Amino acid sequence: MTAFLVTPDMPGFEVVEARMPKVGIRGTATARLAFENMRVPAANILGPLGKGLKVALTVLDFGRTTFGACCTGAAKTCLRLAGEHARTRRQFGRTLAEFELVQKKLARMAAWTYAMEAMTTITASLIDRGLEDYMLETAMLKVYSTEVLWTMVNDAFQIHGGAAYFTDKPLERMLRDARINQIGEGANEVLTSFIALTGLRGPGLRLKSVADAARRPWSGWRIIGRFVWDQVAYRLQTPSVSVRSPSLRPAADELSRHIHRLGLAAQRTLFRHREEVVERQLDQERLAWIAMELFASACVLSRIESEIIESRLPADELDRRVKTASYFLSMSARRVDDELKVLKHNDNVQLRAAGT
Amino acid sequence: MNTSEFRQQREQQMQQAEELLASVPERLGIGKGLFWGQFVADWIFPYPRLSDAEQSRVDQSLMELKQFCDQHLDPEQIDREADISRDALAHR
Repeated sequence: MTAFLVTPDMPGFEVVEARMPKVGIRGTATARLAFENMRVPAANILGPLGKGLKVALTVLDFGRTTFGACCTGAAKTCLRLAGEHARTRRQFGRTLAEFELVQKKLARMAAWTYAMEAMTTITASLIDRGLEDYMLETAMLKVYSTEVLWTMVNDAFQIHGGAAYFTDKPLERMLRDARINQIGEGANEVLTSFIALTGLRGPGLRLKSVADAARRPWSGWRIIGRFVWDQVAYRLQTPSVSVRSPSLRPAADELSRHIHRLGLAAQRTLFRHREEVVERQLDQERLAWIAMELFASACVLSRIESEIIESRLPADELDRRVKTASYFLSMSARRVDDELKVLKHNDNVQLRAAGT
Repeated sequence: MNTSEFRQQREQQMQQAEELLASVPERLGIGKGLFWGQFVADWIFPYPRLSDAEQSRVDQSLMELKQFCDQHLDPEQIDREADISRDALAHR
C-alpha cells in the first residue's frame, strides 16, 4: 500500500457529485469522486514506497485527537442544555433535577465531560512533546469520546423529552451531527480491535518466544527460567500510581490494582486463544474497554490532582470538580470490574450460535 | 470467498499490520504499558499546562473565533441549506 497525491487537474479525475446529501455535519461537503484510468507520476508519492498505511495512520493520529476536542465541546453543550432544562422544568411539583434518574444522567454527563477533556489534553500533550508513537492513545481517545458523546446526546435528548424531537431544535441537530463520530476516521469496531491487538502484541511475542523455547528444551531453558521468574515477581507486584494529594490515594491504589489485573487478563487471553486471538473480537473488545477506562481514570486523576494542588480555582468550583472527578473514578472502576468478570464468565458461545 | 482465499487475505493483512507495528519504536507508552500491567507515569503526570503567555494567546484566538461564529454563522441555516453561506465566509 502506497500513499500518493492526486490533484483535480489530472486526466481521469472527476467529481461525480459535489455534495452528497447526508444526515449530519451538513455544513461540510462530502463529494463522490471518480478516478478513471489515471496515471499518477512517481513524483506524487507521499512517504516511502509501500508505507502508505503508516502515512494514513499518522495523519489520523491528529484527526483522532481533534475528535476528542470536538466531542468535548459538544459534550459541554449537551451538559449545559440538559442542566438548564432539568433545573427549570417542573413535573409532579418538583424540578426534573430533583429526580434520581435525571440526576443519574446529569452526574454521568458531567463526569464524562470532565474525563474527555482530561484525555484530550493529555493526548495532545503527547504530540506536543514530540513522542514517537502515540497511535494507541489517539485510538483510545477517539473510541472513548465518540461512544460516550453518543450516550450523552441521547441523555440530554431524553431529559428534554418530546420538546427535543422537533427539527430545528439544537439537540435534534446535535444528535444527527454526533452520529458520524463513531464511523469516521476508523469505525469504532476496527479501532477497538486495533487497540486490543496492538496492546497484546508485546506480551504475545514474549509468550511465543517462551512457547518456542519450550519446544527446544536444551537451548530454551534460560528463556523459560527467566519467564517463570518474571511471572513470580509479577504476581507479587502491582505498579505504583503515586499522587501528591492524600485524598486521591484510594483511587490511585485502585487504579494500580486494576492495571495489574489487566496485565494478568491479557496473558490469560493469549494463553487461551493463542494466534486465534486475532479473531476473538468479543474478548478484544473487553480488553480494549478496560484499557480505555484505565487510561481515562489516569487522566482524570492527573487533572484533579493538579487542580487540587495548584488551587487556582474558586473554592465552590473546585469542590464541584472534586465531586465530578470522584464520581467518574468510581463509575469507571465499576466498569473495569464488570469487564474483567465478563472476560472470565460470559456467553460468547451462545452469542455466536445465535448470531450466525 | 473460500476459506483458503480468506486465510491468504488475512495472512497478508496481518503481515502489513505487523510491518507497521514493528516499524515503530518499542518504547513503552501508557497504552501498551497497561497491557503489560505497568503504569508509565510520565505520560500522564504532571497534568500538562500551557505557559501563561501561550494560554493568553489561546484565549484571545478562542474569543475571536467565538465572536465570528456568533456574529456570522447560523447553525440552523447551515443545517437546513446543507451549506455555509458565501456571505459568512466572506467575513473571514
